[in-house]
Amino acid sequence: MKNLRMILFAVITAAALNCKAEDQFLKLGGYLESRMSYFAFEDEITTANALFRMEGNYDVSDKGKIEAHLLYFYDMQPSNPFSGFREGSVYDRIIDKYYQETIDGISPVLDDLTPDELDLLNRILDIYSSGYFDHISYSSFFPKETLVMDRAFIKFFFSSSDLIFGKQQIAWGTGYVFNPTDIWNIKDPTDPNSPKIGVLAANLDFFFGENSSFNIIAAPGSNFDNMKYGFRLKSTAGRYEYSFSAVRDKSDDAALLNLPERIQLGSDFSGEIFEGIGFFGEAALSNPRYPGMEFSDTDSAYAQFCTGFDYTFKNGLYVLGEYYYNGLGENDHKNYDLTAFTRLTGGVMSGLAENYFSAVVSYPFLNDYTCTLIGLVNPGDISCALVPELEYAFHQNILVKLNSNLYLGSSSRTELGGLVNKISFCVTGYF
Amino acid sequence: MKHVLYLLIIFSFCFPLTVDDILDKSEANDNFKTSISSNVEEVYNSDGTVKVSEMKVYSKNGNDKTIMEYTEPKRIKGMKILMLNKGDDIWFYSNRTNRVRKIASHQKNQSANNSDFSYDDMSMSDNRKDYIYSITGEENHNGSGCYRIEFKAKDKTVTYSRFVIWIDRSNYLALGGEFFDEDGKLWKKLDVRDIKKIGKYWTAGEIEMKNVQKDSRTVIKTKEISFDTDLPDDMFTERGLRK
Repeated sequence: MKNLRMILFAVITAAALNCKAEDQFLKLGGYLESRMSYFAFEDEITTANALFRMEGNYDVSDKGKIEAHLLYFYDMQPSNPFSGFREGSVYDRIIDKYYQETIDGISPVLDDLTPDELDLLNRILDIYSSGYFDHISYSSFFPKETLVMDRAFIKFFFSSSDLIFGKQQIAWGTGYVFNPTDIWNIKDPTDPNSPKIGVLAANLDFFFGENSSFNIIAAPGSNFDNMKYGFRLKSTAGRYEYSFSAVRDKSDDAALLNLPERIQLGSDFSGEIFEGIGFFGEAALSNPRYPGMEFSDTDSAYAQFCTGFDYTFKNGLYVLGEYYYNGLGENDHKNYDLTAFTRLTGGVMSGLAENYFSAVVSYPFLNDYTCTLIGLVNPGDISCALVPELEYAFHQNILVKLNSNLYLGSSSRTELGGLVNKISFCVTGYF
Repeated sequence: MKHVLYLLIIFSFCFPLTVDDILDKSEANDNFKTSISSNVEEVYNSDGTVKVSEMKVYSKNGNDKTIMEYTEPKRIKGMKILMLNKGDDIWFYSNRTNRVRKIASHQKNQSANNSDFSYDDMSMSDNRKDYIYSITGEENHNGSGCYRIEFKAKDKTVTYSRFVIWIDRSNYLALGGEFFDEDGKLWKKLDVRDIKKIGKYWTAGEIEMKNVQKDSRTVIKTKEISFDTDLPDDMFTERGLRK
């Protein structure tokens, strides 16, 4: 089956590359990204992988278009996310508390567990065995399968509306590092620019005024219950753009992780203050419905929001600061538990803690170079992530990046200190 | 009839053009309903390297609404820039992230696609509201008789502390300019070349912006241009960016 997929992929790619580039209706492109990473922990490991992305879109007429992106991910040394954490880290403690390693692999600890906990652990073990955790938020972009169709949709243009049907990229929110209103994606705060994975959905956009729209989305799951749907109203007021959204969030992934369905009301804005400083923010109020609860019960409701600013100096230096409040987070590292871990994994929140500060500084120099530093601080357990990056445009279509993830803080008592330092070298060629 | 003509000529000497009249006439050169052009942008860096990009530019109601789409190089192919209200409002669309982001004022003075043009330079924004301006003489520029008009910044929020433009007396086209940084030092030089009339409109075949401080220059060449074909209004919206 795997070979069949590979043959199919090769045939499609060959056919695509043979198409006339000057065909005004068919546009083809993509990139090849090759990355080597060195993880600095006890069993020092080096991973190497390559990602080939083939993007094609075809303008059927002025009434519609078809777009498809194929991804082929080749992992030369599979990176197990569990091995990406330091021994003795909070993640290890969560795993140690609930799992034991046997000669046959990992199995749940059976003592002292309630039936609910046991059920949850069995579900997690199933997910782990299926490779689901290759896809957790702390992996940058790791498709579940070797060959993935990341986008595959048909877009219909009507006089004042567009309908997009199929697997598509959906990006909500104005935050740079965090997007609490975006229920469609799981974001890694140390890699905020990583591409967002396609979502299978029906997406209807009504347009009115100069730049206003009303968006209705439904993303089906394996059954009607595991379905996300909602709407978003987006408009402008003066120099500000804003939106309001309301969604019902439940998915197959959430069901596997035993996460409850939830209703989320969201809002975001972006604009500027003091004649030129960028100012943005978003807020989400969520009400989960646990078994036996009604949506009218608001005891478990929680809020998340982020707000920030950015500014570019005349010499090109760019600075951004962002604060994230996570109403589900904990201030005390002792309370980081399995529930928090599954919420993080399921994308319900973007960190284990309650508060985060992040900063981005970027500076272009010598025509072809850009250096960037991303910083993320968890003040609750006093841990920090630093991601310095040097990008070099070797050619207009070839980018070379050297970056590092450095984690500071106690490896046994903090969230970010428990992650493994790494250095990556990445070359991306566009075609 | 002859007398009326004489009178008009005499009156025109009695009431010479004001700086606003000249700028109005200059802007009137862009009074086309729509334009579609294919352009090549060549960036000549100080280290001798040359970077070439291609873009398609669609404009409506003069330059009131403009959308630029990069078609080369492959790395940025499909990226679009939407400028509304003569460049007062700018949106940037990345096809890879499927995100539309409004460019804040602080980003308008930044280089567009690593060229020597800033977003502000590209946007043809109306500088009259941000600068104090006056005619400071009439002189020859590149062999043409020109009005020399100087703009001085009202405050420090704008890109240039001052700049000078030369407007051709015969057709009111801007033929060149010099732009100064906040310390008053010469920063960039603009040169407009290969001017020809296409249909009813004067058009520049080449525009060069030279950054004298970085010793780099960018030349935008118009490969093809057509005027007054129908372009739908919704092309110049966020919806149009995503199409």
